[in-house]
Amino acid sequence: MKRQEFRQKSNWQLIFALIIIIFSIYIYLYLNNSVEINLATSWAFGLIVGFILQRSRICFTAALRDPFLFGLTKLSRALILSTIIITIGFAYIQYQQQLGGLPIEGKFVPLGWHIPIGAFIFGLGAAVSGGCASGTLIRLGEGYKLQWIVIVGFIAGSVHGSYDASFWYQLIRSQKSTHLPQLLGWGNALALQIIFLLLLYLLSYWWEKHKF
Amino acid sequence: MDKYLDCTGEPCPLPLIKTEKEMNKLKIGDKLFIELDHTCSMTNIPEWARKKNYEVETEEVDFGEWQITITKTN
Repeated sequence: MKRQEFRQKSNWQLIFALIIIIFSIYIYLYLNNSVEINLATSWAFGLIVGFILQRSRICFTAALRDPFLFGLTKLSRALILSTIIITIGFAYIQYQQQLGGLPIEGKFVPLGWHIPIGAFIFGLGAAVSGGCASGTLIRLGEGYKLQWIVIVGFIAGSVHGSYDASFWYQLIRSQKSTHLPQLLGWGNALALQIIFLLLLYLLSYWWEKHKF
Repeated sequence: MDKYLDCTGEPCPLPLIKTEKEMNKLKIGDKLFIELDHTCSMTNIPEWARKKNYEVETEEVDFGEWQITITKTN
Protein backbone atom coordinates (compact mmCIF):
# COMPACT_ATOMS: atom_id res chain seq x y z
CA MET A 1 0.00 0.00 0.00
CA LYS A 2 1.22 3.50 -0.83
CA ARG A 3 2.01 5.94 1.97
CA GLN A 4 -0.51 8.48 0.64
CA GLU A 5 -3.36 6.00 0.69
CA PHE A 6 -2.35 4.93 4.18
CA ARG A 7 -2.44 8.52 5.45
CA GLN A 8 -5.88 9.14 3.97
CA LYS A 9 -7.22 6.08 5.72
CA SER A 10 -5.72 7.38 8.97
CA ASN A 11 -7.62 10.68 8.59
CA TRP A 12 -10.86 8.82 8.17
CA GLN A 13 -10.10 6.90 11.35
CA LEU A 14 -9.51 10.13 13.28
CA ILE A 15 -12.90 11.53 12.25
CA PHE A 16 -14.56 8.28 13.28
CA ALA A 17 -12.81 8.45 16.67
CA LEU A 18 -14.03 12.02 17.21
CA ILE A 19 -17.62 11.00 16.46
CA ILE A 20 -17.35 8.14 18.97
CA ILE A 21 -15.89 10.48 21.64
CA ILE A 22 -18.75 12.97 21.17
CA PHE A 23 -21.26 10.11 21.29
CA SER A 24 -19.66 8.78 24.52
CA ILE A 25 -19.87 12.22 26.15
CA TYR A 26 -23.51 12.42 25.08
CA ILE A 27 -24.22 9.04 26.72
CA TYR A 28 -22.44 10.22 29.88
CA LEU A 29 -24.53 13.38 30.05
CA TYR A 30 -27.72 11.44 29.36
CA LEU A 31 -26.97 8.93 32.14
CA ASN A 32 -25.93 11.71 34.48
CA ASN A 33 -28.99 13.88 33.93
CA SER A 34 -31.81 11.46 33.31
CA VAL A 35 -30.92 8.00 34.63
CA GLU A 36 -28.49 7.72 37.53
CA ILE A 37 -25.21 9.37 38.49
CA ASN A 38 -23.67 6.01 39.49
CA LEU A 39 -24.25 4.62 36.01
CA ALA A 40 -22.65 7.70 34.45
CA THR A 41 -19.60 7.31 36.71
CA SER A 42 -19.36 3.62 35.84
CA TRP A 43 -19.54 4.49 32.15
CA ALA A 44 -16.73 7.03 32.48
CA PHE A 45 -14.55 4.70 34.54
CA GLY A 46 -15.15 1.83 32.14
CA LEU A 47 -14.00 3.96 29.22
CA ILE A 48 -10.93 5.21 31.08
CA VAL A 49 -9.90 1.73 32.24
CA GLY A 50 -10.45 0.32 28.75
CA PHE A 51 -8.39 3.09 27.19
CA ILE A 52 -5.51 2.57 29.62
CA LEU A 53 -5.59 -1.21 29.17
CA GLN A 54 -5.53 -0.87 25.40
CA ARG A 55 -2.82 1.77 25.20
CA SER A 56 -0.57 0.27 27.88
CA ARG A 57 -0.63 -3.10 26.08
CA ILE A 58 -0.81 -4.84 29.42
CA CYS A 59 -1.81 -8.45 28.97
CA PHE A 60 -2.48 -10.49 32.08
CA THR A 61 -2.12 -13.74 30.19
CA ALA A 62 1.28 -12.74 28.83
CA ALA A 63 2.38 -11.48 32.24
CA LEU A 64 1.95 -14.98 33.65
CA ARG A 65 2.99 -16.92 30.55
CA ASP A 66 6.00 -15.14 29.07
CA PRO A 67 8.32 -15.68 32.05
CA PHE A 68 7.99 -19.45 31.58
CA LEU A 69 7.91 -19.56 27.78
CA PHE A 70 10.52 -16.95 26.88
CA GLY A 71 11.96 -15.54 30.09
CA LEU A 72 10.45 -12.12 29.42
CA THR A 73 9.22 -10.53 32.63
CA LYS A 74 8.55 -6.91 31.66
CA LEU A 75 4.78 -7.42 31.77
CA SER A 76 4.95 -9.44 34.99
CA ARG A 77 6.93 -6.67 36.64
CA ALA A 78 4.40 -4.09 35.41
CA LEU A 79 1.64 -6.24 36.89
CA ILE A 80 3.48 -6.55 40.23
CA LEU A 81 4.07 -2.78 40.34
CA SER A 82 0.41 -2.07 39.67
CA THR A 83 -0.53 -4.56 42.39
CA ILE A 84 1.66 -2.58 44.82
CA ILE A 85 -0.16 0.62 43.85
CA ILE A 86 -3.54 -1.11 44.18
CA THR A 87 -2.53 -2.45 47.60
CA ILE A 88 -1.76 1.03 48.90
CA GLY A 89 -4.85 2.58 47.32
CA PHE A 90 -7.22 -0.09 48.57
CA ALA A 91 -5.68 -0.07 52.03
CA TYR A 92 -6.40 3.65 52.21
CA ILE A 93 -10.00 3.21 51.02
CA GLN A 94 -10.66 0.28 53.36
CA TYR A 95 -9.02 2.06 56.28
CA GLN A 96 -11.23 5.10 55.75
CA GLN A 97 -14.27 2.86 55.53
CA GLN A 98 -13.35 1.09 58.76
CA LEU A 99 -12.82 4.43 60.52
CA GLY A 100 -16.19 5.61 59.30
CA GLY A 101 -17.86 2.41 60.50
CA LEU A 102 -18.84 1.44 56.97
CA PRO A 103 -18.71 -2.12 55.62
CA ILE A 104 -15.29 -2.73 54.04
CA GLU A 105 -15.35 -2.75 50.25
CA GLY A 106 -13.74 -5.59 48.36
CA LYS A 107 -14.13 -9.19 47.31
CA PHE A 108 -13.53 -11.52 50.24
CA VAL A 109 -13.36 -15.21 49.45
CA PRO A 110 -12.02 -17.93 51.75
CA LEU A 111 -9.06 -20.03 50.62
CA GLY A 112 -9.88 -23.43 49.22
CA TRP A 113 -9.64 -25.87 46.36
CA HIS A 114 -12.06 -23.82 44.30
CA ILE A 115 -9.24 -21.34 43.57
CA PRO A 116 -6.71 -23.71 41.88
CA ILE A 117 -9.55 -25.52 40.05
CA GLY A 118 -11.03 -22.28 38.76
CA ALA A 119 -7.59 -20.88 37.90
CA PHE A 120 -6.77 -24.04 35.93
CA ILE A 121 -9.97 -23.83 33.87
CA PHE A 122 -9.47 -20.11 33.29
CA GLY A 123 -5.82 -20.63 32.35
CA LEU A 124 -6.69 -23.33 29.82
CA GLY A 125 -9.19 -21.00 28.16
CA ALA A 126 -6.84 -18.02 28.22
CA ALA A 127 -3.99 -20.00 26.67
CA VAL A 128 -6.14 -21.35 23.84
CA SER A 129 -8.01 -18.14 23.06
CA GLY A 130 -4.97 -15.89 23.33
CA GLY A 131 -6.33 -13.57 25.98
CA CYS A 132 -7.98 -13.29 29.36
CA ALA A 133 -11.26 -11.48 29.95
CA SER A 134 -10.04 -7.92 29.46
CA GLY A 135 -7.64 -8.93 26.70
CA THR A 136 -10.44 -10.63 24.78
CA LEU A 137 -12.61 -7.52 24.96
CA ILE A 138 -9.75 -5.23 23.89
CA ARG A 139 -8.90 -7.42 20.90
CA LEU A 140 -12.55 -7.68 19.99
CA GLY A 141 -12.57 -3.89 19.77
CA GLU A 142 -9.33 -3.89 17.80
CA GLY A 143 -10.98 -6.08 15.20
CA TYR A 144 -9.62 -9.60 15.59
CA LYS A 145 -12.04 -12.09 14.11
CA LEU A 146 -10.77 -14.89 16.34
CA GLN A 147 -12.11 -13.05 19.37
CA TRP A 148 -15.66 -13.19 18.02
CA ILE A 149 -15.54 -16.94 18.54
CA VAL A 150 -13.90 -16.42 21.92
CA ILE A 151 -16.59 -13.99 23.10
CA VAL A 152 -19.30 -16.60 22.33
CA GLY A 153 -17.45 -19.13 24.48
CA PHE A 154 -16.81 -16.43 27.07
CA ILE A 155 -20.53 -15.62 27.42
CA ALA A 156 -21.55 -19.28 27.35
CA GLY A 157 -18.96 -20.10 30.01
CA SER A 158 -20.02 -17.20 32.22
CA VAL A 159 -23.67 -18.24 31.99
CA HIS A 160 -22.82 -21.82 32.83
CA GLY A 161 -20.58 -20.59 35.63
CA SER A 162 -23.35 -18.63 37.30
CA TYR A 163 -25.68 -21.62 36.82
CA ASP A 164 -23.15 -23.78 38.71
CA ALA A 165 -22.21 -21.06 41.20
CA SER A 166 -24.37 -22.41 44.03
CA PHE A 167 -22.43 -25.71 43.93
CA TRP A 168 -19.07 -23.93 44.27
CA TYR A 169 -20.23 -21.53 46.96
CA GLN A 170 -21.64 -24.44 48.90
CA LEU A 171 -18.09 -25.85 49.12
CA ILE A 172 -16.75 -22.74 50.83
CA ARG A 173 -19.76 -21.49 52.74
CA SER A 174 -18.67 -22.92 56.08
CA GLN A 175 -15.24 -21.21 56.00
CA LYS A 176 -14.44 -17.73 57.13
CA SER A 177 -12.68 -15.43 54.71
CA THR A 178 -9.40 -13.87 55.78
CA HIS A 179 -8.72 -10.17 55.80
CA LEU A 180 -5.04 -9.62 56.63
CA PRO A 181 -5.39 -6.16 58.25
CA GLN A 182 -7.93 -7.54 60.74
CA LEU A 183 -5.57 -10.41 61.52
CA LEU A 184 -2.25 -8.52 61.75
CA GLY A 185 -3.17 -4.87 61.98
CA TRP A 186 -3.03 -2.37 59.13
CA GLY A 187 0.68 -1.52 59.26
CA ASN A 188 1.89 -5.12 59.44
CA ALA A 189 -0.49 -6.39 56.78
CA LEU A 190 0.46 -3.61 54.38
CA ALA A 191 4.18 -4.10 55.01
CA LEU A 192 3.92 -7.89 54.59
CA GLN A 193 2.07 -7.62 51.30
CA ILE A 194 4.37 -4.95 49.84
CA ILE A 195 7.54 -6.76 50.91
CA PHE A 196 6.23 -9.96 49.35
CA LEU A 197 5.44 -8.14 46.11
CA LEU A 198 8.85 -6.46 46.05
CA LEU A 199 10.49 -9.87 46.49
CA LEU A 200 8.45 -11.18 43.56
CA TYR A 201 9.56 -8.16 41.54
CA LEU A 202 13.22 -8.83 42.31
CA LEU A 203 12.75 -12.52 41.54
CA SER A 204 11.28 -11.79 38.11
CA TYR A 205 14.01 -9.24 37.40
CA TRP A 206 16.63 -11.82 38.30
CA TRP A 207 14.84 -14.47 36.20
CA GLU A 208 15.04 -12.26 33.09
CA LYS A 209 18.73 -11.58 33.72
CA HIS A 210 19.29 -15.31 34.13
CA LYS A 211 17.48 -16.15 30.89
CA PHE A 212 19.24 -13.63 28.63
CA MET B 1 19.70 -17.84 3.90
CA ASP B 2 16.97 -15.31 4.68
CA LYS B 3 13.63 -16.62 5.75
CA TYR B 4 10.09 -15.31 5.51
CA LEU B 5 7.55 -16.10 8.21
CA ASP B 6 3.84 -15.45 7.74
CA CYS B 7 2.12 -15.13 11.10
CA THR B 8 -0.98 -13.20 10.06
CA GLY B 9 -4.05 -14.32 11.95
CA GLU B 10 -2.06 -16.01 14.67
CA PRO B 11 -2.53 -14.89 18.25
CA CYS B 12 0.09 -14.40 20.92
CA PRO B 13 2.32 -16.31 21.78
CA LEU B 14 2.50 -18.32 18.52
CA PRO B 15 4.46 -15.74 16.47
CA LEU B 16 7.21 -15.50 19.07
CA ILE B 17 7.45 -19.28 19.48
CA LYS B 18 7.85 -19.61 15.70
CA THR B 19 10.33 -16.74 15.60
CA GLU B 20 12.43 -18.35 18.32
CA LYS B 21 12.52 -21.66 16.41
CA GLU B 22 13.41 -20.01 13.09
CA MET B 23 16.11 -17.83 14.62
CA ASN B 24 17.81 -20.90 16.02
CA LYS B 25 18.02 -22.38 12.51
CA LEU B 26 19.44 -19.22 10.89
CA LYS B 27 23.13 -18.51 10.48
CA ILE B 28 24.85 -15.32 11.60
CA GLY B 29 24.09 -12.46 9.19
CA ASP B 30 20.81 -13.99 7.98
CA LYS B 31 17.54 -12.09 8.15
CA LEU B 32 14.11 -13.20 9.26
CA PHE B 33 11.06 -11.35 7.94
CA ILE B 34 7.95 -11.79 10.05
CA GLU B 35 4.55 -10.60 8.91
CA LEU B 36 1.97 -10.35 11.69
CA ASP B 37 -1.23 -8.66 12.78
CA HIS B 38 -1.31 -9.28 16.51
CA THR B 39 -0.46 -6.21 18.57
CA CYS B 40 0.87 -8.19 21.54
CA SER B 41 3.41 -9.98 19.38
CA MET B 42 4.35 -6.60 17.96
CA THR B 43 5.71 -5.66 21.40
CA ASN B 44 6.77 -9.19 22.32
CA ILE B 45 8.99 -10.05 19.38
CA PRO B 46 11.07 -6.85 19.15
CA GLU B 47 11.60 -6.91 22.92
CA TRP B 48 12.74 -10.53 22.82
CA ALA B 49 15.00 -9.95 19.82
CA ARG B 50 16.60 -6.83 21.31
CA LYS B 51 17.27 -8.75 24.52
CA LYS B 52 19.06 -11.30 22.35
CA ASN B 53 21.12 -8.42 20.86
CA TYR B 54 19.75 -9.00 17.37
CA GLU B 55 19.11 -6.13 14.99
CA VAL B 56 15.41 -5.29 14.78
CA GLU B 57 13.43 -3.19 12.34
CA THR B 58 9.67 -2.75 12.40
CA GLU B 59 7.33 -1.26 9.84
CA GLU B 60 3.56 -0.90 9.70
CA VAL B 61 2.73 -2.11 6.22
CA ASP B 62 -1.03 -1.76 6.47
CA PHE B 63 -3.67 -1.09 9.13
CA GLY B 64 -2.81 -3.37 12.01
CA GLU B 65 -0.29 -5.31 9.95
CA TRP B 66 3.38 -5.14 10.60
CA GLN B 67 6.58 -6.53 9.24
CA ILE B 68 9.47 -7.18 11.58
CA THR B 69 12.94 -7.76 10.24
CA ILE B 70 15.39 -9.45 12.55
CA THR B 71 19.03 -9.83 11.63
CA LYS B 72 20.92 -12.51 13.46
CA THR B 73 24.07 -10.79 14.64
CA ASN B 74 25.43 -13.28 17.09
